[in-house]
Amino acid sequence: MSDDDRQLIASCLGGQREAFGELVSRYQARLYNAAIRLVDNPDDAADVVQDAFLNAYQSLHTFKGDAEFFTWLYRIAFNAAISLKRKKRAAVSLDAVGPDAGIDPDDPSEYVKPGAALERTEEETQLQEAMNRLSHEHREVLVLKDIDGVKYEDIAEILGVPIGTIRSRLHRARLELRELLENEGG
Amino acid sequence: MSDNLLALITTAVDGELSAVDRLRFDHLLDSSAEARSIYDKLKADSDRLRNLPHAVPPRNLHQRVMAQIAAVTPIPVTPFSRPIIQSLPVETSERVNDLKSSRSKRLVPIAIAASLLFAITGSSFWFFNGSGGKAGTVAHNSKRQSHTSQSGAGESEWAKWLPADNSSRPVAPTPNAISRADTRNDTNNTQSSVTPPVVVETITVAPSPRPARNPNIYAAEPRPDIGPLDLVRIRVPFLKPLADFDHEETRQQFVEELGRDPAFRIDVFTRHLPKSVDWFRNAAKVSNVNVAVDAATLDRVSKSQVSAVVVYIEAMTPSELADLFAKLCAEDAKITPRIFDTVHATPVVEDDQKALRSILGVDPGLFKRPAQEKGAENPKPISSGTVDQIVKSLSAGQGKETEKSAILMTWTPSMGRTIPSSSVELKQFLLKRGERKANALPVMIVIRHGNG
Repeated sequence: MSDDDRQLIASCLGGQREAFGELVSRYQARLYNAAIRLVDNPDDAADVVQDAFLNAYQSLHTFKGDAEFFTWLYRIAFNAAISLKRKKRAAVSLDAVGPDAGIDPDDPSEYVKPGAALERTEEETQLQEAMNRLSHEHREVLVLKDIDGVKYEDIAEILGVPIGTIRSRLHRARLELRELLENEGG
Repeated sequence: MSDNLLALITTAVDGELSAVDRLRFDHLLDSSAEARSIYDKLKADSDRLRNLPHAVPPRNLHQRVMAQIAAVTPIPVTPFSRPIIQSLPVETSERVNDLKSSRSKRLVPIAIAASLLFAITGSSFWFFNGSGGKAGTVAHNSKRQSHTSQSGAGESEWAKWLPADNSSRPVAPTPNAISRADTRNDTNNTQSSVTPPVVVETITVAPSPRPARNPNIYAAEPRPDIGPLDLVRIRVPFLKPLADFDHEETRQQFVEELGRDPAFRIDVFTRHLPKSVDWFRNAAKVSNVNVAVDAATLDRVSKSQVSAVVVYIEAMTPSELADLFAKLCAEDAKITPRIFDTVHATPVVEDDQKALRSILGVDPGLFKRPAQEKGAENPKPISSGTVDQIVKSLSAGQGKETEKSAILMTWTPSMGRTIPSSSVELKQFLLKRGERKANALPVMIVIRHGNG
């Protein structure tokens, strides 16, 4: 773990909330970029990041410091993403007929501006759609490996599974993604 | 292309090849156009993912996070980390005056309560140390006196109910030192004609306390360090529903478990044995395993005269066995409700080997290690030409995998087992049975009723 992170965590545990704010500034963009590839929805991605930071803050005293802070944070975020998916799955039927259905989200991010979908290239859309059709397990290893460039060891630590499982998961995920892209003409 | 070579290619795409794998991979690319094509496609997919535009978080995300943290939780501080004295912010004189007046108003009830408490405490102190204190002492003594006299009267009353001969009456043991008042009471109560006992006031010195081992616990030296503790590892048998074999983690755990011992017994519980036998044979066939079924056993299974059958395989590796169970899981999932229940893997024990020996008619040699391949212990460096030949033979040998064989026999009831010499299928299996490969694991798979 970097000395900066260590110092910020110590300051935060010493009572300085601003130190945690610095950690949020440092990792929010990276975490959001990974989260949006997992949940494919800006609102949900922001919620995942928000929940992850809140949980990290509440359990900061349990962080031993023997791993990278972002590894620990990712683990929390990925668990938050899974929880969110479960909640969404349970509530999807209600949301479909709710009064807010069809109203544009009020998120100010660039990702959801009117016309943003048009600006996304056809290739990106195709790739994201293929990613969405992958199982959550396969999607998360691809996000960590290809989008975030995390090594096997760190992925194993983030997801809490052996390295052999990560290797075979990536293997199957790549083959499945290739098959999906070929079926869609990619 | 085989799974191993595909795995090598995907590991190369991941950028995590070891030096040895890198060599194998380079040779593979040189020798196989198909491998090159697959690698190029997978690498391109990976690059496309890597080059996806970076999503920008909402501008207010930081504020939202911090606001939620401030609203939901206090600062996670240790108890003494917060400074005790905090500097007040600079305020105007008017504001300070208002603050003072409001503070003084708030202090009025506290001051009244403190005064009352002080008055009560003072009067109590005066009462118990002045004349009141004396009265208290007298009252205490008179009470004690009346208590002893009452007890003496009580004892005399009870005495009249006793038999006339009091000499044999058991007497409670009396202490050596008797207080003056008690002696007087005893004298009156027993109404003895003998002279009252002489009161001897003795002062017994209490024994001195035992010396403490560490008289000064605060300045004592720290205890010596505790030596390293022994780590006890408890091995739990593998026990999972067959339905879980469609998860990679379960298969991985299964492979790891099978790698721990030289031979395994795997119990598979089922609700319907005849169907289970058929489905197991189907799954095995897909896994390139020919399960020869003893004709007598098959007949008894169809008549429900058998509660468990055993399949003996010694030509499969742990990962191939995991794949076999995954295929069995897929076979089982085709019809609802599933008929297979749990899979329980344990190392083979001596009794299992004995039972298997009686079924096969020969010693299966479950605990015998296969002979090491020549040169395996002291590997010699190989030339690049040899590596080429190995890679070519590996690439050329794809799809020519020889069929593995297994035998299915009756397990229970033991009285219903087929005599080995009378089973044609068993003889054929034993004839085909060659030298066991180094990485193959002998397993006996017992398919049995859940209550069998």
